[in-house]
This record gives sequence, C-alpha cells and structure tokens, in this order.
Amino acid sequence: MIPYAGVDVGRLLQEGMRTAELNQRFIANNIANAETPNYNPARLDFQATLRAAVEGRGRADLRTTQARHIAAQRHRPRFERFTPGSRNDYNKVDLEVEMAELSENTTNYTTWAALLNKRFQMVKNTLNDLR
Amino acid sequence: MKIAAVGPSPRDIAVTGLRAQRTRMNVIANNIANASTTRTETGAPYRRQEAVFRASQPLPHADLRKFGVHVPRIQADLSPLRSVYEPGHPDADEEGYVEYPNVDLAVEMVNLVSAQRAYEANIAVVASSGEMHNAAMEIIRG
Repeated sequence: MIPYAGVDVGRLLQEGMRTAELNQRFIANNIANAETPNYNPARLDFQATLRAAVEGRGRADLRTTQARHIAAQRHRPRFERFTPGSRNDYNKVDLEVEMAELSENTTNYTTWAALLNKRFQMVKNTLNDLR
Repeated sequence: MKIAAVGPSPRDIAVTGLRAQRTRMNVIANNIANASTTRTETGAPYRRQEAVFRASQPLPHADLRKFGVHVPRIQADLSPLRSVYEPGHPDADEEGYVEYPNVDLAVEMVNLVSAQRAYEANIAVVASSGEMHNAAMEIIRG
C-alpha cells in the first residue's frame, strides 16, 4: 500500500517537517519530565497526525485570508501511552527510548528538509533552463 | 509556512528540564556540604532537602502550551536524624548524644549521577533541535 498516493510531495514534506517539530515537543516534554514522580510519557501518534494534516483533516475548515486572522489549530495530537517497567516514584519514562525517538525524529526532519530543498532546486534549475 | 502550534518550542521545554535538574543538583550539593552541620541558624541540626518535581500540567499532558517541568518547592526530608554519642561535642545533649543531619552520602551521590544524566538528556534535546533548525535554514539559503 502506498500511504500517500496522489498527494503533492511538497505538501507532504512540509507537513512532515511540521509534524516532526510537534513530535519533538512531545519528546522534549518526556525527557524534561524523566525524573518527575507519577509522570506517564505521552507520545504523538506521528503517522495519524501526518495523515490527518496531509488530508486536511487536522484543522477546522477555516481559512485565514488576512494576516491577523487566527489560524485554527491544525494538529489533533493523538496519544499513545506506554508503560514500561515501573520505578518506585511511578515515573514511566524510559530515557533510552526517548533518546532513540529523539534521534529518529531529528533524522526524519533533516531528511525531509533536505528533500524539500532539492525540490526547490529542481524548480530553480527548470526556471534557469527556460531563460 | 505558519508556525505549527503555539506554546514553548522543543528548546524551551528542554530548558525547563535543565533548570529543574540544575536546581536539584544545587540542593544535592547543599546536602553534601551540610552533611555534618549539627547546628543551623534555627539552632536545630541541618535536615536533608529535596527538590520536588512537577510536570507543568496534569495527565494526559495534552496541552501544547503547557509542556515542561518545574520545581514548585524544596522540601525538608523529615526522616529521623542520626544520634551519635559524642560527649565532648559542643552540641551534645545532657546524655552526650549529638544529632547529626539525616544526610546519607551514598544516596546523594546516586541522586547526583541521576540528575547529571537527566541534564545531559535535555542538552541532547537542545542540540538536536538546533540541528533541525539548521536543516530548515538550509532551505532558506537555497
């Protein structure tokens, strides 16, 4: 199955970067709370959020036509809670898992940014050829 | 391209973590420094202190505007003090016992290592967010 068949690639890359930025906040929050008693890590359901954003479901059907309009929140985060081994302070953050997530998320973001960059370069090259 | 959502950036969130862990390290250092303080300004022996951590919002941590951690208070450890028989000590009671702080150096060292590890994890978040930032800047540079 091709999950995003028929989707504008530029849009997919943009939304991917945006979702990764959002995901980074969730990971940062889990890491900041790695020593907080009773804390249960929250994780963004990345694929679902990205899919919703690409399909335009992640926002109310409101468009901003002026700069001062307030954009409706585009992302409907979903949560995936997991409960690995418990500690005596009932904190359920696994720092190693979070570090792995952090690394993966950063790699994804930089990859998409590079691809988007290439895409713009392609457009630029085409325009240069036309001259 | 609009900014994805309101609220603290990943870096801001990591900074709350850094600040909380730094506070905790200061409290631990204070405990270690005062491990033998038998008389404080109030006249009582020093009591071990502990930094209390709280997530900036309750479960399920869904509000993007309130990510992060904070230290609402620093609390005294009310576990019993150590009584040591030292009749010659200026702070000894009539029976010759001196009350020493309830500081256990082993516990403090373990907590210090744990705070350091958590601090480094937050540094990693700052670093990787910087990496992401640079990647986005590359697009602008073209």
